[in-house]
Amino acid sequence: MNIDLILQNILNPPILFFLLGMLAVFFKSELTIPQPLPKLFSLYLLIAIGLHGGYELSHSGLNIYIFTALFLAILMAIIVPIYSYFILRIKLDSYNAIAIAATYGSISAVTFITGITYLQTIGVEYGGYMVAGMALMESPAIVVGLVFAALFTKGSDDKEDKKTDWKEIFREAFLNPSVFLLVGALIIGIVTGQKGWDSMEPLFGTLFKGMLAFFLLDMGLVAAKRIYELKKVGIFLIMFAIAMPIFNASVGILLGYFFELTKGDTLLLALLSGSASYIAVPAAMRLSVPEANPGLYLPLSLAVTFPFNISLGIPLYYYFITILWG
Amino acid sequence: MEKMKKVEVIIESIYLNRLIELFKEGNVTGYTIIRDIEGAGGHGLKTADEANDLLSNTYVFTLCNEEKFNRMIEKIRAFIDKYGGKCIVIDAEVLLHSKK
Repeated sequence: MNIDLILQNILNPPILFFLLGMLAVFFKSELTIPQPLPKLFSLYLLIAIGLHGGYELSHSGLNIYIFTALFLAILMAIIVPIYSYFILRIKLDSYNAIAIAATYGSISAVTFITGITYLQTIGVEYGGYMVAGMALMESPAIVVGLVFAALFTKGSDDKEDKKTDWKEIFREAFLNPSVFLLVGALIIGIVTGQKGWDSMEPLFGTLFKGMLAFFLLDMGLVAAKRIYELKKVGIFLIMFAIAMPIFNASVGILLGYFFELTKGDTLLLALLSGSASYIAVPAAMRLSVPEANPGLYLPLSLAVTFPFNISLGIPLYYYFITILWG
Repeated sequence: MEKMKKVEVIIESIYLNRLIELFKEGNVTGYTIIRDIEGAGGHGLKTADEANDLLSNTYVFTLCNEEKFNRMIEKIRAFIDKYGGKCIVIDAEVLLHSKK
């Protein structure tokens, strides 16, 4: 694999800030980011990516190609948690297998955003509709998780308790803050088009990379603190957290190749397929499958899969793509 | 001074609504919430530094008379057993209730 591809990705200020955040924890620096700020950054990133995607969609309109890309995104979000569950059942009980499978079936918005920054760095085009693909991929894994929980685990004895659960969990699946804000910003971007984007561009376009660097600095701190929890997780799951993203991304790449997506769109599909959620799905799983241990699924997605994807995964998947596309 | 029970509960923030529902069922309508508290326990480190309710805990306390407390005790026990967390009960004396 071409070392330049890796360097082009890693020698990007946001990624270097992520590594800096991790180093701060390893060297026991007192560096912290005051609590409400990371929340602001994550809201900012969701609005920025939604608005920009919507603006591009308002340009491109809808066609068969876009529907194919969106269909592939949903397909991946449904099949990944299904086969992940059966792989995980080799070593785990149903509860933990469901929670981890759903976590890996869903997506990480920041991984996707970092992938977009990489494509911009190397000058490869991608479509704004992939943002819609990302929004569509958040929820199916939660639904698969809930169905599996109903099929493969002993339900709660208290029927009344179960009834309230469903309402709360479906709200969590389809109206969770990140999906809600992302879809909202996307629609605002579509409705306001060029004029809207021009007025928002100074905040959500020009400052974007700087804000991403700030957010990734915080993610570095958060991820590194979780690394110490990996001791309890065991080698099978750590291997899973690296092998599974590569496998899922490869399936995404093959689908992209087969359905003739562009290189940029295929990389984003691969990243969405290969990334694991650490916000929406863990929250939904904690509500619906409290028996599963968050000490397993959170460190795996935060401390293994996320750092792997944004540092080595992105160039690795792009390398696969350049081989296939020639 | 009136003798009461102070019930302190530390739970993952994501379960806060369910705990409040449980309080309401027990006719306990007054409570105090402190959000985003940090600590470590059986479910790992809670650093309260993420846009994610799973990584932060919430502290809730309420004061109730012994009769209400006795009606709720088994439900709270089941709740903690299912969702994790801590519940501490303290004998308290209340100087003055706020007038409604």
